[in-house]
Amino acid sequence: MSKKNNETVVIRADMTKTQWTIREMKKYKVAYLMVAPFFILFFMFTVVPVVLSFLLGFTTFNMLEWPKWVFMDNYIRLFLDDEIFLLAIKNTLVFAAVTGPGSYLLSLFFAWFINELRPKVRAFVTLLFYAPSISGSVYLIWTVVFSGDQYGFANAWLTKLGLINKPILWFQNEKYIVPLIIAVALWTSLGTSFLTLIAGFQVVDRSLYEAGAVDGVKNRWQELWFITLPYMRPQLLLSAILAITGAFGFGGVITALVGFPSPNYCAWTIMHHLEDYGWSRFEMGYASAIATLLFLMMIGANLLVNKLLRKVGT
Amino acid sequence: MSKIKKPLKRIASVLLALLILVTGCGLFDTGITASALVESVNGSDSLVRTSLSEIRSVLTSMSYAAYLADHANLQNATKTVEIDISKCNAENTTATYQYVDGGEYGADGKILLTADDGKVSFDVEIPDDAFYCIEIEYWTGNAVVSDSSGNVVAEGKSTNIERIILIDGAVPFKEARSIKLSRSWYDSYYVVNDDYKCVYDETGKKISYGTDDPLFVESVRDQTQDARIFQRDNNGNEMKPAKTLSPEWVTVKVQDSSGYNNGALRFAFTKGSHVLTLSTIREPVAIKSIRLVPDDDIPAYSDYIASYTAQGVKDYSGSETFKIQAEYPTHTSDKTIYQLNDRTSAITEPQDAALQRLNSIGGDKWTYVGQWVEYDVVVPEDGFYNIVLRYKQSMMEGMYVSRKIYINGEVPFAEALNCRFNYKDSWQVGGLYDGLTVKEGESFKFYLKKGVNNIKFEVVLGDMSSILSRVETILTSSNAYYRKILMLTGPDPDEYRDYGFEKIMPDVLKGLKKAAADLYQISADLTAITGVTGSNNGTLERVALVFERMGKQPDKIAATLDTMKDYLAALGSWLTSNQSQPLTLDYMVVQPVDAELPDAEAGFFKNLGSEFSKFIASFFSDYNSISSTTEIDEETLKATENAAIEVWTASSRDQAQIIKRLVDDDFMEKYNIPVTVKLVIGGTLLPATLAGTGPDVAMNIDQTTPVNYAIRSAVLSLNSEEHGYNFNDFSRFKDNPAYSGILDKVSTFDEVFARFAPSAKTPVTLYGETYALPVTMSFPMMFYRKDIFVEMGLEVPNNWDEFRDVSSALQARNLNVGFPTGTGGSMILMYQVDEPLYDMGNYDYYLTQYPDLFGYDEATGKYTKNVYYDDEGNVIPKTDGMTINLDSNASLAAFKQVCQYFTSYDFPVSYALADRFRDGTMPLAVADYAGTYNTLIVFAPEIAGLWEFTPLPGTVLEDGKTIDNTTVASISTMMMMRSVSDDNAFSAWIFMQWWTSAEIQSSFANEMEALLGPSAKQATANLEALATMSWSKDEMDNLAAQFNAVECTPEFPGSYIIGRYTSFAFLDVYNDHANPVTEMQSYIVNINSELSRKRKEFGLLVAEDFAALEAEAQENN
Repeated sequence: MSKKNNETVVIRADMTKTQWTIREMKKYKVAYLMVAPFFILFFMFTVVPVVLSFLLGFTTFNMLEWPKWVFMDNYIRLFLDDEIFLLAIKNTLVFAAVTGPGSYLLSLFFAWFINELRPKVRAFVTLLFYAPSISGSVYLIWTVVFSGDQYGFANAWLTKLGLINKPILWFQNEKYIVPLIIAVALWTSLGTSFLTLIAGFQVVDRSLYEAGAVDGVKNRWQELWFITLPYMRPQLLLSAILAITGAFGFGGVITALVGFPSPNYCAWTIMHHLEDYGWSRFEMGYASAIATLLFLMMIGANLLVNKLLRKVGT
Repeated sequence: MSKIKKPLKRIASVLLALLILVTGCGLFDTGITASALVESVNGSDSLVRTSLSEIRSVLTSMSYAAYLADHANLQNATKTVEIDISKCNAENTTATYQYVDGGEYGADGKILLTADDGKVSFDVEIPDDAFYCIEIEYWTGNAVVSDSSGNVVAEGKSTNIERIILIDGAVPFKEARSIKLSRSWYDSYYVVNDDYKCVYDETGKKISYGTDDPLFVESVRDQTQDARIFQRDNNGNEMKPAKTLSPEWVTVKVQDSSGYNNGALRFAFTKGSHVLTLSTIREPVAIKSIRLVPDDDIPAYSDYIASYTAQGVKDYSGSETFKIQAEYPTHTSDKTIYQLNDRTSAITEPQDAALQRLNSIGGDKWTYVGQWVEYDVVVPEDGFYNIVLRYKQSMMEGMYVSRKIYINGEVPFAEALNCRFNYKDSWQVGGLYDGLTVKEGESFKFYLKKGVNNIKFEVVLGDMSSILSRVETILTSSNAYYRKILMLTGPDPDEYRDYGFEKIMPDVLKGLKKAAADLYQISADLTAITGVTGSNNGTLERVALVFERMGKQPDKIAATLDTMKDYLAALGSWLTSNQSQPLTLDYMVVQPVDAELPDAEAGFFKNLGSEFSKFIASFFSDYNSISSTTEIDEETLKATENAAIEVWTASSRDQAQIIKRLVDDDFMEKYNIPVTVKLVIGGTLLPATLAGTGPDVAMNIDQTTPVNYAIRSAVLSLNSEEHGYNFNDFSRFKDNPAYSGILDKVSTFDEVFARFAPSAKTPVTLYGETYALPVTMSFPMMFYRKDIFVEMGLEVPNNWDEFRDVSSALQARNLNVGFPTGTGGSMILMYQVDEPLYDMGNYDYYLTQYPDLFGYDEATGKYTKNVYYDDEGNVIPKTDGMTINLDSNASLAAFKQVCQYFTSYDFPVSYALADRFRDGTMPLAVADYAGTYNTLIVFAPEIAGLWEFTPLPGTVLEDGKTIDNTTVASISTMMMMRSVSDDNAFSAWIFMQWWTSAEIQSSFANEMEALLGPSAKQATANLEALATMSWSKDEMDNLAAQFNAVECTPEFPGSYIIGRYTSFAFLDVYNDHANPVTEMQSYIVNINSELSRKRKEFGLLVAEDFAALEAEAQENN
């Protein structure tokens, strides 16, 4: 008690905001110290690159010579003089619109179903569904199934059934690429977000269901909508962010399956465009501008999802 | 709460977005180079192609077993017939040969030298009908053969000598198609001091000695565990000694090089005169004598013991043991059999927790039939001894590997023909046994004479040989059955159709049934030999089941054909994997027969301790630095430290180690400039250069990079002062003390480029300035299966019309042809009619029409901008590469032609070449020579000798006779980065010219082959080095012919866009049956506009500049 009396009493209104902040920081310096290692790394390797990338977006930079400031030229070219970028935006949006919600709903429903199983079976089935995304490049098995060789699985079966008489180059034919890629994307999408949702279902307080039953919940759908989902909103949000960033950034798998670039740019996404300019054309300035746009698009999509999720349970 | 949540969410999304950007970049940084386009050169019409009749004379399907059965009533000969080799049968001799005095080769009298360019024949008079073996006394060194005017026509390349044996002009059985005469190699050690560093003699050279030197003999015979003779590097790791070819006369009986038949091959002769022919596959050879001798009668073990016991020989009475460390062989058959560092056991002698000790030999380097290792051991008295080995056979699970034992050059008893080494996943110690006469755990005793005894272990297939030989026969015949069925039904037969196999091919059905019965029998025999039924039996019986079903129920053939194909492949790999006989040796002990065996493995605590100390040591050793052996004294260091360079290579560790070794051994010796070789992963070069921490020289760079980096000033020019250095003129480096005395050992830029095909300069040169040196060069050639061509009566195509005819003929029989798709194929056709990829030339037009653009000064008559001067001093505008030339008539025709191959002729776009070439369903393919050759040589040993590669078919030129068979090559390069300074730029050049020199390229290629085996052929760009590599004469002739007609595509800014759009065009045609011409034309605009855009970025002239001027001019008119 006596110690407290010795301290000078400080009133928030007496000082400027900066002074107050500094004071508070001093007070909690141990906490700042503890967060410092992470914060320094995060700042150095995340914040600084993002800012740099944003700045580079206003230059031409070939990665070997000093950048030249060109202000908005990159953005003007992006929107007015780059048909392929517009194509990439279209593809990305189509792709994100299908696989984002698709994978999200798939994750949600599988998580819900699996949650109904007995614990031991649940663990096993979870592993089964999660396996494709743990094992890294496992999607490459689709190149075997849909190999362009006449002895590839799909071609061999179709030939045997008499449906085709010349092998189809599945991953080289515009007609098949996008559907196949979307299928593969959905197949691999039961990843971290799926696990998060399973965890979310587990934390729902059982007593709420009883309360719900008393309050007039009639069926499982209502239970899901009014009790389970609102209760696990944090998990839903994380999972949604993962699904969105996943859908927007789904470039590597496409490259591995159909090559770079995809025939006639039919599966060309913003990620590919960025790669193309950054690494094969040595135009990092332009690539940074693309990255900035992609970044804005993701933030926009996140805000949208936030809004939507707020409607859950209402 | 919600206030905190929002920024958190933002940060999380920022984080995630970034994470994805970063990982996305990682995923992409390989395989972006879209350009599949390469380079080219011009017409040779001196094609070396084996004619059909020649091929036919050599092909025979008769196996040795069948041959013996055919001559079952023939006796072993009784007398030796000496063949007079001093006279060749002129009529049947096509090779260059020469008789020389044997003195030079350490022999008495005349010896015969034969080159590698044909066959030599001898007359032989046989006294009786009988079986003879052929005994040849030959020189293991390299023979040098000259023609009558004294020009050297052939010089040995240190690879195994290989011949075909013909009797009276025909190959008696198929094993005689490949008779190998092995070389002999020994290790060259350096004299080392107590620190295991080299000792130098008074002239500053290292003192080396071989395994016959008393120094070696002493160190190895008085072996204690500590006496090491290997040189060590600065870190203390032991370094492998170099292998040296040991030239000596050896006498061998001709053996089956596939190992299917143990012992010498017997040839049936009838009484009277015959002609014996040796036809070349590889290498010239020096021969002292050839005899026909009776086959030896090797006594059985019991007779062997009995006969020596009868002579009064007893077991060795002493108790001493005589140990030889296996890492000290006196000779080996191959230079690939080198010392290894075993860390799997705590008691492999010797052992160090952190450092490399060469403590064993063999492993997967000592697995092929005919490879041998020999040791000398000294024993104090005549008597019987046990030979005990500490060995490891952990690779052939459930099987054993076999070795043939020679004591002093003779196989002592029949059982020693195949001694067994059983599988165990740890080290074993034991005497020699064969598993039949003497069981595992016991051992043979051997008679050794007092003094030096030579013990040799040779890889044989042992009891497995007959099994493997029978399986191979079945595989060959079933492959033929498969092709026959395929030719009738196509690859996807209709299950519901009655093909009438019983009527059309009853022989195939019979053959299949027989093959099935044989396979069941083989499986049973295998179980009898190994004593277990395992996965090996499974493979055989599964195949047998399929064959049986197909043979008995022909209506199931159509449905089973696919399975048959897979099973044939499985049978093939079964055969390949069972032929390898890996064995690692730690030491050999010759000991009294009743002595106890040494320990096989360390005890638990010893192992634990050893593993623990290795674990601790792993924190302190730097496994990444490939340390130098050379210590430079302080003064020299000072003088040269400014001239030091750093070299980066993005290759395998093996390669980097060889580079390092060559730098230490050769480069340092010659030039004394410090070089740091660093092994980096691909993709580091760009960021490092950007950060200014890049290397001075970068190796293993693809062909698009030099020009791409150069236009961004990251790479220096090698022939111009303006953007780099001019290495045709060394005057500015003369005064640097670091280079004193070595200038005359350095080649100039022009001298260096004379080493390569002229076109190799094209991709690394932009507007007269060359930015890199070519290192490797590879290009498509034509591979074909000789046996199938003979079977179908097809001639090897010389031009595209013939190629089409052959393709049609093959496809009529449901066989396929492999061809590069899209522009990969059409560029070949384009360059054959001299159509380049870009619009080039037309310089006078530009200069005279648009003088202003080139800064023409009428007063001086000089052009001042956008031009450069070529070597002859002509002024050349920088107009090449402004537009693409894929829209010219010839280019479009070429593209259309190639598209037709895939649309009308149904060439497959996607296929596994090695598989299909092996089973014969794709007997003709145009494919990259080095990669394809390397794959086939390892992957498909059973078709060895049945295929070859030749120059591409050509385009018949307007005169109707000349054929231009140009191919389009791709190169890998090395370049000088902008990190060099005036002080060390010349060092970088010295390194680059040194690395591309014939001597070093050939050493590097040989070292790679020594390390990784015959599949590691390097596609070096240096023509002289290529000739010294282990290509056979025919292969080399074909390669040389194609090298005379090779072109490369140039690189201009924006070239990455071409491969992309041309492949779009091809896919449109293939997938949607679009018109190739209109499809290609539709992409030309896109390609050209990207080229212009990129050129503008670098301030180069673009097509639009001229178009604008032209439009203006027209308006004014």
